[in-house]
Order: sequence, then structure tokens, then C-alpha cells
Amino acid sequence: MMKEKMGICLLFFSSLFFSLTGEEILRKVDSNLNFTTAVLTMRMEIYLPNQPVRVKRLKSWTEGSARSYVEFLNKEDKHTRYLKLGKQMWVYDAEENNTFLISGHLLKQGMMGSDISYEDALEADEIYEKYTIKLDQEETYEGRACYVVILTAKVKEVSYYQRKMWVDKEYFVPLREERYASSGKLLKVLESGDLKFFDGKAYATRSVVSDKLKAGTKTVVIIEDASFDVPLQKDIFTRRYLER
Amino acid sequence: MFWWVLFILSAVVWADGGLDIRGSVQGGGGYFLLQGGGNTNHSYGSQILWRIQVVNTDTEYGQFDALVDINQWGGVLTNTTSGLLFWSSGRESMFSIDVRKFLVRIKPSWGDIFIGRQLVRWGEGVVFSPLDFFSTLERSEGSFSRRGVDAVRVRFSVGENGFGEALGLLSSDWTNSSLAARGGIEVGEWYFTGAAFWNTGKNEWKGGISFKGDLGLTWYGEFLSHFSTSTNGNFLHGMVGCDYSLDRWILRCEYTFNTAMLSNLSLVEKMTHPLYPFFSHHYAMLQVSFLPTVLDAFSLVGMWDFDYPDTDFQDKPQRYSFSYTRNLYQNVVFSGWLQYEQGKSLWDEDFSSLSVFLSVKVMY
Repeated sequence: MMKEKMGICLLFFSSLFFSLTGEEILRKVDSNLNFTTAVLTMRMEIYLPNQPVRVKRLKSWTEGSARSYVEFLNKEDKHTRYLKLGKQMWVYDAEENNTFLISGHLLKQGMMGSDISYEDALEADEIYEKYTIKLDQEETYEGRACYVVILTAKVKEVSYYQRKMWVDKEYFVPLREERYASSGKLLKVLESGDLKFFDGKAYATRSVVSDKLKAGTKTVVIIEDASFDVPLQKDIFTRRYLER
Repeated sequence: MFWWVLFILSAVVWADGGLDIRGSVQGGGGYFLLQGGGNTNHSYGSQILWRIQVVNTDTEYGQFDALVDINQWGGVLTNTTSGLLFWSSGRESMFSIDVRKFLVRIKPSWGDIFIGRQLVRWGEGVVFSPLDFFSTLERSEGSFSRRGVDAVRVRFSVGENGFGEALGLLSSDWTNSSLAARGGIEVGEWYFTGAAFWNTGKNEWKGGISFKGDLGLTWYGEFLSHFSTSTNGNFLHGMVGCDYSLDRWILRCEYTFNTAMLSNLSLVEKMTHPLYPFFSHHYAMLQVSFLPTVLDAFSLVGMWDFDYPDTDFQDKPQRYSFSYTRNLYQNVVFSGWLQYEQGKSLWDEDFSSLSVFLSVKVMY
């Protein structure tokens, strides 16, 4: 009887001291996604009601979370390039030789007609400063055991007041995220799957983004090719390279 | 000579890698109503535009970039034909070839050298842009695009975002060339540029700055001072603009002013004046865009001339255009625009016009 009580106490205290907090779970997600550089070739499929799917292909070069450069490979958008430097997004139109800075509220618009806004693409490491992070519960999602983490905005300057994330318990990969307005209205849903392993780390190679304000639309991003921690050309994150 | 050197450089750069060819074919037609000088004209116009862009795929040492428009104009649009080559191809039909860009970029380790016809955008404004010394606005099209200039431009980077550049507009008469320089730097989350221009032949100077940044709305502006030994050649020219996006709506406003005192300019002087085509002291532009789906885009643009103090607002020069584009398939876009304009022509005659144009563009 005494042993049983001690066992229960141990279990209780170990859960108290060793279970993860919401922030720790997200830090583990970050740590899993941690790479110095990444080069990804992606296929973006834009689904619209009663329309044939629009397909865009793009290649991105990323360093940390603050710097990335994107080129479109499909012929209709080949003249468009993006450079993200911290919170700034520069766009280059090679046909008009025009570079312009996207800032302010224009960042809320969808990139190249997709459900992914410039703001979504710019999002960096600020969630810890801007959100209160809480572990809500654990549940099974698509057959995988997940932590459910809720992020609630503590500052006004955020695109989404509340975010609910399902994080795979084994691989620390977010499998689903719901983004809400302060009114409680669901704005966006992100679903990830097709986990693949690179250097022992799991990455989702298929993501679906649905903008719930636009009925029947979704954007699917499939990673066709990926390489991590590879050396990048020195000047790739400069305006000179963008305008080449 | 300039073009021969350019062709040789282009050939060298082509040899360094393959060529990537892409572009679009756009065909359309429209109706045009013009009233002025006691006359009313109803007419039609059509345009088939084949746009070809050629760039070389290997850009390690140099890059070739060309954009050529091959146009078949019909009806009243034959009057607006311009380009490198154009000739009549039948009754009320013209054929033209316009080289919008044809340049070689050489890439030494310290920067870039651009030689040839190039689009040089130095301003932040979409419609009003005093700092765009070289690429003038094309108003005849439904959209706002700009034309290139033949120049040599040298550019170097300063950090990730900063840069300096110098440009020369070559002339067979060297003493009649134009020179310009510009630098840009990021300060906090604001971006600033400073630019200067010197026309050696006219002994004309210009100097100005631009800025762009976010203060709730995105604000941008350009301020320029003209100095010249010619009569009435000293004046200020500026603009401020802002844009805002709310859900599926995008709003953009621009205002421009100048302090130039212009009178008795000939037609040629007007066409080549830095203020062309905005000679009045105060203009404003409001653009409202609505993007209900990722396929559809509506845009309404209003432009007003606030001069003519003795004229009622409804009689002042103004222009409205409404456009709609729809992405029909992956690479097919339908567009249509309706435009109304009233004002004074370059001959100082009152006129009003109404036009509607529909077209389909296929990208390849």
C-alpha cells in the first residue's frame, strides 16, 4: 500500500517537474526546425471553387528565420522575386525592372494569389514576445499523439488574436494550426503532413493553408526537394542579387 | 556606335549560357469617343501585342535582357503608334516594333554595369513620380507602365539594402549628355534615397529625396528641386502618397504639386518638359482596388487637376478609369477598362473622351 502511494506521488511529481509547458513545446518545434540554411524547391497549388487548379513552382533560399530569397520557376511568374530581410519584404518585377518595398497593411494580402499572406511569410521568432503560450491538452490528430497548444495575443500588433496548434509528440512537428480573430472567428487553418526525415529530423513536406474567409479555396505547398545546412552564395540576401 | 558595342557585348554574354525566352500575346479592341473643338468622333481601335522577353540563363559574369513589343494596330490606335520601327500594313492598320529593353549587365566583383536600353525607376510614386527622371509614364494604356532609356549605369551595393549608382544618358554630342547619381539607405524601418541630375546641354540641375515607411498607413514621398539658367527653370516638384489594405480592398492616394511658372511653351517643349504630362500646380489621384477572389481584380482610379480657380469642380480637368481583370486559366488573363477624361489638350483646347477596351492575354 505504501509502495503504491509512493508510486502515485512519484508519478505526480515527475509529471509536475518533467511535463513540458506550451512554450517548451514550441521551443522544441523551433529546435527541430533549426537549420543554418535551407534550399527548398516547392510546388504551390492554388485551389479555387469551380476552377482548374493554378500551379506555381518556386525555389527558396533561407538563412535562419530572418533572411530568405524566393524565385518563381513557372513561366507566368518567372519575373517575380522576393527578398525577406527581417520584417521587410522587397519585391522585384524583372519585366518592369522595378523593386518595391511591401510594408504596412499591404502585407496582409495573399502572395501571388495564394492563401499565404506576406505577413505569414514574414513571421519570425516573435511568437514568444507577442503571445501567451499555454499547453491546453493532449489528443490524437490523424492517428498521431499530439500536444494541443494555445497561443493568445498579449500585444495588439498581431495578425491573429488566438492560435491553436496540434504538435506531434514524437517528432515535434506542428500538424495542424487554427488561427482566430479576437471575435473568435476562424480565419485560417494550416495542416501539415507527409513527414520526411533529413539528418534525423522530421519535416512536413506537404502543407495545406485554407483561408476561411474565402469559401472553397485552399493553397497546398509541397516540398519537392530540400537540402539543409548547405553553403549559400554570399550575396544572395541583398538587393543586388534580387535585381540581377 | 553605342548599339554596335551593345550587340557585341550581348553576343558575348549569350555565348556564356542559353537564352530563356518568354512573353505574352495580347489581343483586343475597343471603342473611342472624342469630343473637342466642336467635333465629335466615334472610332474603333484594335491592338495585337506580341511581347517577347529574352534573358540569358547563366548570370555568373553578365546578363542579357531584352523586351520587345511587336504590335499590330488597327483603327484609331494607328494614330498612337510609336516605336523603333513602324509602317502601314493596310488601310487603317499599322505594324510596329518597339524595343522596350535591350541591355547587357556586366558584373565585376564590386558592382554592376548596365549598358543599353533600360527601365530606370528611381521614384516611389505609382502615377506621380518627380524622381523618375528617365522612365516616363505611359498614360495611353489601361495600366501604369514606363518606358526605357538608352544609358550606361553603374551601381554598387552598400550592405544588404543600401546602394549607390550613377547614370549617363549618352549623346553623340558629349556636351549635350545627361548625368545622374542616386544613393539609398535604410534607417530603422524607413527607406530613403537621394538623387541628383545634371543636363550638361541645358545647364539644368535637379536634386531630390524620396522616402517610404510605415506609420499605420504606408507613406511615401518625393521632393525635388529644379535649377536652371533658362527662364522659369527654377521650381519645386514633390509628391506624397499612402496606401492601405483592408481585407480585400487596397486604397492608394497620391498628391503632387509643383511651383513652376509655365507659359507659352511650344508643343515640343511641353512634350519634353520634366513635368509632362502634369503641368498644373496641384493634382491628386485615388485608386481603389477590390480583390474579391484570387482570380478577379477590380480597380477604380480617379485623377483630378485642382488648378483653374474660376472653374467649377465638375468642369475641371479630371480622369476616371475602371478596370477589371480575371485570370481565366493558369496563363490566360482577360482584362477590360473603361475610361473617361476631360481637360485641356496639349494645344490648350477643351476636350472630353470616353473609351472602352477589352483584351485577352496569353502568357507563354
